[in-house]
Amino acid sequence: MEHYVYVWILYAFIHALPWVFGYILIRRIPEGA
Amino acid sequence: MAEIQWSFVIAFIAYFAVIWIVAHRVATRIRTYLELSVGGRVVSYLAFAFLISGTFISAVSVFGGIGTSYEHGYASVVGWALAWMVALIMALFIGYRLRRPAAPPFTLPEAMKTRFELGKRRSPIQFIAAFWGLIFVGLFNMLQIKGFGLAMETITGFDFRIAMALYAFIVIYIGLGGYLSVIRTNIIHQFVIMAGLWATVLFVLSLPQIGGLGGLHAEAAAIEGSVHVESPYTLSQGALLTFMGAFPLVLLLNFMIANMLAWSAPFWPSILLGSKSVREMIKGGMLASLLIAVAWIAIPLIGIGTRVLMPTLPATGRYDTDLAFTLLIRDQLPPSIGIVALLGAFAAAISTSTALLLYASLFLVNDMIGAVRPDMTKESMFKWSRIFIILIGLITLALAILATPGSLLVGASLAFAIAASALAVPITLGLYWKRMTRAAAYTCLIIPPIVFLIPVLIYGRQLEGYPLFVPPIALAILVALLLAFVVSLFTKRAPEESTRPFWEWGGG
Repeated sequence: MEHYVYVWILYAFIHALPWVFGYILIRRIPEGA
Repeated sequence: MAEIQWSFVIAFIAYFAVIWIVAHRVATRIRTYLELSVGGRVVSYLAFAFLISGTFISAVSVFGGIGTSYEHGYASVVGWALAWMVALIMALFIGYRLRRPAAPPFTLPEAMKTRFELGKRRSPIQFIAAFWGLIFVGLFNMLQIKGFGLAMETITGFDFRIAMALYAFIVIYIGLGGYLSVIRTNIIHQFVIMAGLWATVLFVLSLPQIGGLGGLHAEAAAIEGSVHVESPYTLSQGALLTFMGAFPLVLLLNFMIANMLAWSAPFWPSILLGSKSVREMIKGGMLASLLIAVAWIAIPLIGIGTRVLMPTLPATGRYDTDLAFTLLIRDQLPPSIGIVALLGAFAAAISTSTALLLYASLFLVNDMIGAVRPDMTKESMFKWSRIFIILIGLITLALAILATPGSLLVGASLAFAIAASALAVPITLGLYWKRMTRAAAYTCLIIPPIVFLIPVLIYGRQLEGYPLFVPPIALAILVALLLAFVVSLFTKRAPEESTRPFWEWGGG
C-alpha cells in the first residue's frame, strides 16, 4: 500500500483516542458530581 | 507597491463589523470577574467544543501547517496534527483533576498554588508559573498577529502595520468581553475557518492540472528537490507522501514532543476551568477533536496541492514556507475563493489571539499581581484585567510589528517547548502523584527550562549541528522527571488538605 495511506490510518486512529479516553473518564465520574 | 485589492478589504471590514457587534453585546453586559475570567462557569459541552477547536486551530496551523506540508508533505500531520491530538487527550486528563474542586481555581497557576502552597498568603510558585505562562502567550500571540499581517499585505497590498493594528483593535475588543465573548466569536470563526479551508481544497482538487485526490498524490510523488535555494531541506522523490518528509529524525522528534506537550502551555488547562462540570468539559473535548480533525484533513491537502502548482518559492523572495498559502491565494485562486480562504485564515488567527490575550491579562492580574498583593478584591481584579487586556494587546502589537519573521511552526514549537519544559512535569505529577512536594515543584519550574534553552541558544531554532540523539525538549523533560522524583522523596510530604481538592469529588 502507498505510504500516505498509513499516515491517514494513523490519523484516524489517534483521532479516535479522545473518544476512547473521554468515555473512560466520564464513566469514572460519580453520580451527581 | 502592489495595487490594493478592494474586494478583499471590503470583505474584511464586513467580517470585522459582524464580530464587533457580537463582542460589543457581551462586553457591555458582563459585570463580574467570575464572568470575565471563566464565563461564570456555565459553559456547556457544545459551546466548549467550539471554544477548544477555535483556540486550537490558529494562524500557526493554517499558514504554518500548510507551509510545512508544502515543504515536507504529510510529515506535518505526524509532527503537528497527531502530536497536538495527543496533547488534547492529555488536556482531558489534566482537566479531569483540575476542574474537580468545589471552589475551582480561576487559572492554572492558581491551581498550582492550591496544590503546592496552600494557606500561604503570597505564593512564589503561582508567580513563576504565571511568568512562564505570560512568556508563552506573548510569543504565541506575536506569531498570530505577524502571520496575519504579512499575509494580508502580500495578498491585498494593504500595509501590514495597518492590518495588524486593526487586528489588534478587534482582538482587544473581544478580550474586554472575556471568556464568553471569546466563545461567542469562536463559534462564528469556526464556521469561517472550515469554509475557507474546504473551499480551497475543493477548488485545488478540481483544477485540471491536479485532477482530484488520486491525481494530487500521483503528481506529488514525482516532486523532489528544495523549495528555495536557502532551504536546508532537499526532498527525495516520493518523500512528500511519507511520514518524515525531508526532516532529520531528531528535529522532527523535537517538534513532535514539543507539540505533544502543548497542553501544558498554561492557557490550555486554564480554559478548561470555565466549563460547567468535569463531564461537560470532557464531552466538549471529544467533540472538539472531530472539528479539529476536519480542519487538519484539509491542511496537508492544501499544502501538497500548492507544491504541485508551485514547486518552488519565488527565488527572489525570502525562504519562508509560511508564504505558501498566501501565494496560493494571491496567484492561483480566483478572488471569490481567495476571499473565503483568507477570511478563514484570519478567523483561525483571531480565535486563538483572543484567548491568548485574555489569559495574558489573567496571568498577570490573577497570578502575578495576585501573588504579590493577595488582598486585591474581585472588583479591582475585574477592572485591572480589562485595563491590562488593552495594554498587553497594544504592547504585543508593537512587538509583533518590530519582530523579524521566522517560520510560524518552528516558532510555535519553541514557545510550546519553553512552557512545557517548565510546567508539564509539575502539573502532571502534581495532579496525579500525591507525594510530589513543593520543593520539587520549584526545582521543576526553574532548572528544566534552562536545560532546554541552552542547546537552542547554541545551535539555533533549527538545531543545526546538534550532536545528541535525544532532542533538547526530551532532555529537559527527563531532567524534570528525575528532579521531581528525587527531590520529592527527600523532602517533607505535602499536607493532606493540599491534595484533597484534586483527588476527591467536590473536595477542598
